[in-house]
Amino acid sequence: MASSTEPRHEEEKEEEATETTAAEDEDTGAQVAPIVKLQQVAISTGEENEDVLLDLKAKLYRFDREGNLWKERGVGTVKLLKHKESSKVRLVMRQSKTLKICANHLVLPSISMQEHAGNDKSCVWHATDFADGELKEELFCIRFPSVEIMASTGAFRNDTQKGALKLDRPLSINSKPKSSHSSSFSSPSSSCKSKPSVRHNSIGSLLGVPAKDDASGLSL
Amino acid sequence: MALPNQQTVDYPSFKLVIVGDGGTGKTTFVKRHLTGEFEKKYEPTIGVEVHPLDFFTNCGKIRFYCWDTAGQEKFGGLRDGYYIHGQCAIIMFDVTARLTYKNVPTWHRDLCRVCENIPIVLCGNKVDVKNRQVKAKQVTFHRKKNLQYYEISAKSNYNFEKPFLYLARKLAGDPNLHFVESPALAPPEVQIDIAAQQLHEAELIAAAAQPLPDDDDDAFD
Amino acid sequence: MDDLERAILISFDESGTIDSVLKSQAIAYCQQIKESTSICSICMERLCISKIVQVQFWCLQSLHEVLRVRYSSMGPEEKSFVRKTVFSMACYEAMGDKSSVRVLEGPAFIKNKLAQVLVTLIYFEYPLIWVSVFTDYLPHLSKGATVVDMFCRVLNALDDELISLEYPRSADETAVAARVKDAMRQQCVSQIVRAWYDIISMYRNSDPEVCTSVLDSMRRYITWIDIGLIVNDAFIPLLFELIFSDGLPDQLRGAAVSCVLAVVSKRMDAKPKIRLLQSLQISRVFGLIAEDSDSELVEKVAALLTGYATEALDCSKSLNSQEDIAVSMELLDEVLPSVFYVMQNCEIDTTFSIVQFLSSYVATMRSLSPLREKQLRHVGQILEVIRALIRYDPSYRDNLDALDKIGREEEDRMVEFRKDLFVLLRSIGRVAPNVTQVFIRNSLASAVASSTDRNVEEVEAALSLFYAYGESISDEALRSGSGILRELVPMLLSTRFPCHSIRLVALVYLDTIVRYMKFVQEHTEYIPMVLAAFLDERGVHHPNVNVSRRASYLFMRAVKMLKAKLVPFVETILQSLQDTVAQFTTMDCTSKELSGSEDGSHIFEAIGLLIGMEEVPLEKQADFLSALLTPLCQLVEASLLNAKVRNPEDSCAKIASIQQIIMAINSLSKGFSEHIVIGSRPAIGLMFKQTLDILLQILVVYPKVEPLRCKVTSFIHRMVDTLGTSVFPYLPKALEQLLAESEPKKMVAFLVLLNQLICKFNTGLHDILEQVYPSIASRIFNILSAGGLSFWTWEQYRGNS
Repeated sequence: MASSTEPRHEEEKEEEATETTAAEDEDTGAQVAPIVKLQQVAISTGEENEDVLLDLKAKLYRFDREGNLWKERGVGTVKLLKHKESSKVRLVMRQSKTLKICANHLVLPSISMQEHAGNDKSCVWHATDFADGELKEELFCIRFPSVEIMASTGAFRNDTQKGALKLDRPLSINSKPKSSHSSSFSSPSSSCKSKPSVRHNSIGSLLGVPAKDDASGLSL
Repeated sequence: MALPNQQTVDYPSFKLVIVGDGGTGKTTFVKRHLTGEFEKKYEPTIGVEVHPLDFFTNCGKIRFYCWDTAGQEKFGGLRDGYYIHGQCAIIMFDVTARLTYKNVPTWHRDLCRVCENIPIVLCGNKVDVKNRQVKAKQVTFHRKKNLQYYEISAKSNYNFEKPFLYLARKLAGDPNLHFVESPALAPPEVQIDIAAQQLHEAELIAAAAQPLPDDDDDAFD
Repeated sequence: MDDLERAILISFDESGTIDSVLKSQAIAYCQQIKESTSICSICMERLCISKIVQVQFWCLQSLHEVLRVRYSSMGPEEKSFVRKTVFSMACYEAMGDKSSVRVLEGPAFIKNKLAQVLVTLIYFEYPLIWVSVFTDYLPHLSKGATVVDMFCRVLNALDDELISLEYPRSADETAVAARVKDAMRQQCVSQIVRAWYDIISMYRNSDPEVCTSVLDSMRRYITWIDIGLIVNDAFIPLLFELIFSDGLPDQLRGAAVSCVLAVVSKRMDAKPKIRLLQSLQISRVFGLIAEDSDSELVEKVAALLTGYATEALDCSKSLNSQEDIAVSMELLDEVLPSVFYVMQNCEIDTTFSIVQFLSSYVATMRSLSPLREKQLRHVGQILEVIRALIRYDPSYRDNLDALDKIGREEEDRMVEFRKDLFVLLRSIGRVAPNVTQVFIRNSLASAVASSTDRNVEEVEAALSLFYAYGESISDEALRSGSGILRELVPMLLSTRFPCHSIRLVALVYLDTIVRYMKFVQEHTEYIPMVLAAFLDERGVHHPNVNVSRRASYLFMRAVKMLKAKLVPFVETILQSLQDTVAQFTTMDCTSKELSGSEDGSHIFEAIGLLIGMEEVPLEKQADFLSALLTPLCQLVEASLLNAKVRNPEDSCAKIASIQQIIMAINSLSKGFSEHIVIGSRPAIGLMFKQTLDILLQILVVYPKVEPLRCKVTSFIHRMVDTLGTSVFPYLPKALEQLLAESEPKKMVAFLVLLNQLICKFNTGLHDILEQVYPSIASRIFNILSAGGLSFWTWEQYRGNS
């Protein structure tokens, strides 16, 4: 450890037995002396030689193969960056506030993006990711605040529009061919929650309200 | 003197001790920073778990060795023994459980017995929950002891960076220190192996069918 | 290093470099030792020979645990052994031979741990078994600072572990604490105080640190020992001597100040308390705060002054005799100016407690009216304090204007910080309305008079004060413009600050105008000034987009409040908004900042409200509306025409712009009531019908673009409200389109629309519903069964995994 970061219990002090005493605990916080001296350093984002193709707020998940579940990776801004000389495009996502990197990989033609089966604001892909400074095989899922934004993102849209998702939908989950609109019911959370709400609220209001006055046009 | 039993790095590092009652969210908070995940399950920490956590600041990279200690007495392990040579601390309580706030003074006392004069942040966690039992106005302990107080939510990430930012500022004596973008290094080229790719695609299809953990929550800040 | 030492070190290691099997072996080994019957002697032995702090710590920790858990089952000999050994260590006695390790030479945390062990013995044994622990300790203090320091740690630990009321305690602990305190009061407190006095007198110059420790311990004990031991002709003068000794370190002087504060805060009856406060001659310390502005000492003195003022105030409330009350008020009057001075001039962390005190001071004034001259002066000073505290630090000016990370943080902090101060401002406004008015006027007038941009923060603060002041004025007073409003509102409206380009100044300026709009409602001669403020570069034409968008929203609110009074100005307003309107439709709507009240579409709502008024003659109304609707509709039609031949990126931008246009039309339509549109002015209704016709085309051309469907749906909602039954001809086609491609989740939106229709028109809707109902029903049941199916398959899938 750098000498500047040593804790304050230096030896000479202890031998003199004249340290500040326990009662000084009272004033922790505001009056604590710093224990390192840091200098301003030049800051490099690593993105200086790239043009921003896309810059959006999003939430990223990585797939935990062991637990067979999606885990959150970060909330922040995702960018597609194109290198000014090599023209290589990469995806970089940073956590908001801490600005740490939660994804960093090249966008290769082999990467195919698919809509997430249960969430139409999300899509999934595989990448060899370099966020932690070492290459890792990751499955990512990204979720945008709204379908509109997801639709408006050129890169994410192009692939989903090709319809790859709809053809590739695994049969183990959707054993029956589904009509295009049913995708939003294939996740357990949305199917559990939205189904009764459709039944009770909307049908209820549809049939209930006019019944008070005249239900003639509505009888089944 | 280096801290005992720590791998050394060539940038400043600090031992951060995290204490507070069991179930207040210490481990979840640390995990949130480590991997981004939000762990809902409660599994009590046994003894202590130490995780290095790096941050990039305008004054360079720094590291906190987070000593995530057991909150439950029966799993305490070495208890205040873990605080030895602690350089900063977080005391966590749960704003939805009054008792966890009542115990804050005791955690503070035990901490200060071992670590005199270190910067300490008091964190009221779970402020995303609607029925909180400890209101912000009722939190006064930090004023008596000159601690910094933050209301946080490991679930919504509300203020989740603040404790680290405050401690870093105090340890460096620089009130203007702030987090900056960590350099996004160019990812190396990778060879594409057709067989592996097919495997990934199969995995992907299975994964795409797994639900997301927080499907309903559309609030990104 | 032997096995135990190695095992302890291994069990402390958390680097992950030690094999987990080895580690659990080590932990088990330590645990086994801890459970052995000779654990106490093992620990004592180790403490004499091991220099490894982890080992020392482990031994003391184990001793503490053993005592706590097994004390009652320990034999008298073992107890006696532990007692003697621990006491010897705490007294810096040599254990065994000369080379043995002394705990008191170790680091602070080891000494604290030893103190904790000793206090555990006191818990069980004092005074019944071990009556002499304190009296035996005192003679050792002459050995020097090391033992004195340890003695302080023991007293602190006793306070922390047993006596202090700060920690949750069990009933047993509370009983033991009472027993210990009683015994100490009877037996040794006076001796301990004597020892403190002697140590401080002896060491004050040679070892200020140990004196600081003594004072810090003493402060904890003042709450429960006989106050006469401290408040006498010896100790109080000694404390003040320390406080005034320039040559001594701030820590020592500050510790003495904190002792005086403990004396001041001691709980006692009001009558003796007031004598005590008097006897301290607190004015002596006033000079200290002028010397420095941000030292630790000033912080402590500020706390003392606040504490003193709080006590004097409390006394005045609980005393009965007029004479006593007068004395307490005198004491308060004496100390207040210094409290104000501290708040205005010193950078301190005790601001919170001072604000608390000031609030309770102002609260007591309510029962005192009319206020004495002196009190009015104090109130004026408190207002000055508020003004000083709410001012931003100029060093953040650029950050705040660019609203970067640091600026945002500072703004958030200030908003939070100002809350309590504005509450204080309002309560002063009630207690001393005239003083407050004069203050508000002066601060605004001086802000207006400032000619350079050096005073950005002063201007911002003055405007914020004026805004906050407005929150405490009754509607009646606002309307009539009582007091200073008649002077200040015109002053505000006519001012263009040199620093008006600063975001914060511009924002609070506009907010303040809206806050006082009720005055303008009654004093219409100021309307042109209001309009100028909103329409020129102070408002919607402000260079900062954050300001101009907010201005759009606030202008809409102003229009809502002024309504018909604006009719003579409609043309002028429209003219000056031309560019803003044009900008909106070309704006990039995917830009991230668009949200809530700041999206800028409010300018259309404002215009709609203006031109939709019945007071605007039909001909003009039609002209205005057509001037807006025609180009917007043309834009939509043009987009729809080329939709098929566009590439994806292009169409993306088009969709965004159509979205913007619908939002604009939607906002615009909010100003038109059903009464006008289909009642008195069918020509206007026709224009909206034509618009609806065109917008419905969007559903045909872009059937699957959700954001567009969503925007069109809300426009239909509006038209149902505005057009009434004349919307019927459009419904079948619209409903059919919406139904055709709607996703299950979006069916909810569709049903909401249907619900609106049914609620509004009841049986009137009969024919149309009959027409569309079969397809609605089949669609819904289709969806429900599909949903049920996928739920079932999901469950099955879970069972398999």
